[in-house]
Amino acid sequence: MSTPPTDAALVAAARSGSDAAFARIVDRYQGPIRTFLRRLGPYTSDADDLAQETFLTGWTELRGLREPARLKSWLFSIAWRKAKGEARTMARNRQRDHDWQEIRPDCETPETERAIALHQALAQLPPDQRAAVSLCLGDGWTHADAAGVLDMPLGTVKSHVLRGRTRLVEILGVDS
Amino acid sequence: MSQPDPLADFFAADAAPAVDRGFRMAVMEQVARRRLRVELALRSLATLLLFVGVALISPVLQRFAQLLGQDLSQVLLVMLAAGLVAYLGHFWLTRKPVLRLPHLRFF
Repeated sequence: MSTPPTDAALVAAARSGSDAAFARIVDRYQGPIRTFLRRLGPYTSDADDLAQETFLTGWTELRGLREPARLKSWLFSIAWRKAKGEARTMARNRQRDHDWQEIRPDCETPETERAIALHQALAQLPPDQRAAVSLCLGDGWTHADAAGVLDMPLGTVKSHVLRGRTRLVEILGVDS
Repeated sequence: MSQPDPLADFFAADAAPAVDRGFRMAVMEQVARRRLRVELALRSLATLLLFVGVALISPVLQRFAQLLGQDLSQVLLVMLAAGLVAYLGHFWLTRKPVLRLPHLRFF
């Protein structure tokens, strides 16, 4: 079985014009990036639009990527910048957020119940804390890597994760 | 033995699908659109620059044509026609243009 190409190899191929290579980059990171952005905002469709913009910006700025092996962190940094850019809109839509928290689908499985509960709990955290929690607790990033992506001091990220985790446990009513 | 994280189940339930073909297609469609726009803009700019260049050197070209005289101009005309026929013949046989604009790929 052939080993999958490394990020650096895919970046090199995409830089030389291979759409197939860029499509593989999209496939490789669409899941984590969409999940990250969905956890930052209330609307899945908005988050997916933002994720598409993230990849489009990634494609445009691919030549500026200094360390191709750090492709994942770089894409997440773009996603975070875009999410912060949307912050004003999100603030304007705070009422919409509130309405959204009231929405409950007709047909719920334990999975969707848990997902909705998590979204509602995350919505109560400040955006920076939400992002740090999403990366470190949701996606298994180290504090140092998350600090790099979010452009925050390491201590701030650690504090965000600790406080965010405590708050989530409290809101969700699970035993820590 | 370490306790499992009680939040892990919540985060796992909330994850987006690992691969969504529709999402990939939407991204690649936007990439194709942006590439087309950039290439159109660059080619338009190149054409504009070419026109400006020709306009700038046209007095020199006109003078050169006058210096060549009518006989040489006719020879040039024949050569031009022969070249055009050869080009069209090659295109007819191979279905590929001999002269090709460089593929502009800046991204």
